[in-house]
Amino acid sequence: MKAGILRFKKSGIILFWLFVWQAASMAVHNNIILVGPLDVLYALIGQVRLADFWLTIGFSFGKISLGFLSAFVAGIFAGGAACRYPLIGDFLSPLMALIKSIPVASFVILALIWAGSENLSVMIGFLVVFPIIYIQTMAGIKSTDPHLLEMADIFKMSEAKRFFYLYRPALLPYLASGCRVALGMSWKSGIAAEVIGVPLHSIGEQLYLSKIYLNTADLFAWTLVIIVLSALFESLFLWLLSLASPGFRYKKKKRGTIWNS
Amino acid sequence: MELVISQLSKSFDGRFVLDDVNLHLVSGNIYCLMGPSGSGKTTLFHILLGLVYADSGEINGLDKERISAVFQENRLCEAFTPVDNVTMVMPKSLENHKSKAREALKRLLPDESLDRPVSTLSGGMKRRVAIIRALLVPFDMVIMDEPFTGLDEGTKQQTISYIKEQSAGKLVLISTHQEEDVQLLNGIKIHL
Repeated sequence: MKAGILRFKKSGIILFWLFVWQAASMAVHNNIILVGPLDVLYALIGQVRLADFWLTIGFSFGKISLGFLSAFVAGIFAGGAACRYPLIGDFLSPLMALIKSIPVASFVILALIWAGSENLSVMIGFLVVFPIIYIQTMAGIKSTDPHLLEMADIFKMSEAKRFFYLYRPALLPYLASGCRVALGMSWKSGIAAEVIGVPLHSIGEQLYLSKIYLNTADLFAWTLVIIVLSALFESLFLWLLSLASPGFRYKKKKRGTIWNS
Repeated sequence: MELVISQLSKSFDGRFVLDDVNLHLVSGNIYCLMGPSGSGKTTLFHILLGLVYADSGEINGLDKERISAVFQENRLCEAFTPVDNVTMVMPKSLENHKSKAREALKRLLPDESLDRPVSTLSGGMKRRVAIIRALLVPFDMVIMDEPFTGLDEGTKQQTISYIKEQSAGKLVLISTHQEEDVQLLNGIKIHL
């Protein structure tokens, strides 16, 4: 009942803002400056019917996901190695500082020179995500309870068991919070890179064409597509990550019971 | 096994916690270390476990590969079940280690608690998991730092019988504040 009311309230608020948007667009009465939600919906329906729309989505989704996933794996390995061998951390430290401080636009130009526009969003996604995952991995590993590590020493636990039972539970919350930030950033920077590099059959190319032809409805429609894709990818990835959490198998059971001794 | 501790001393910030401690401990006995809080019981245990270095003195006959422990804090992995917490320290070479762990836990804990995360158990139940964990690994000597904290009389008696059964022929060193525990354990009292 309460959930129903809450959903109704949320829907009402969204409808209110859509109405404000439509009213503003009607008041402006200029489809280049501000299109209404109905125009965006028509533009989106027009796009969805085309095979090219799905090809474009597949291209950008594949490239940005590849950039994110490769950075995710590399960041965990590099962060883990830096914790295990501090010398690696010392060597990577200036590189990380450099990657974090260089503007994405500069990276895009460099990546265009080095790799061309085809794999631009893979590279940019990687460079944006890698330092975040690296730092979060190090923080997660360092947060492992030292008392438990002493316990593992006393009981001669193997490295594999230490990772599974001690480091993994400490690491996952840090990775999840890093991924929440990194997933959004990989999409924003990946699409921005595509707009600059204009690779064929990319969402960035579509945004660029919308700008050239002053087609604001298409611009809004593609922006909506980006938001939906980003949210879907984020939900899917965070759900997959939660499967690795030690508490996952107990979540379906009722939790919180404390037995008396 | 014979453990000989000679002239062991340890100080923190210039204050001696252990001062010229001499002990001769032999397998097959349960030694109950008694003394007020701050008398150095936990420090002695930490030295024996290799977690703290002594300032001076000698320890002979200690095989660090065959030592087990119940820590003052439980040091359990809270997100995992009691069965996981016990099996994670058991060598895989032990046959049927999962069923052995489950059987042992069933003796001191209710069945329905075995597959719940440790974080949902009471303090007394966590303590029993920590005790079982220490007694199911291969060991010659087990150190137990106030193992009966949080246990009621009934479960304490059960736990003591389990400890006596599992540690028969081994060297057991337990710290406690209760005279009654020494009698229940048929232990040898040592004052620090």
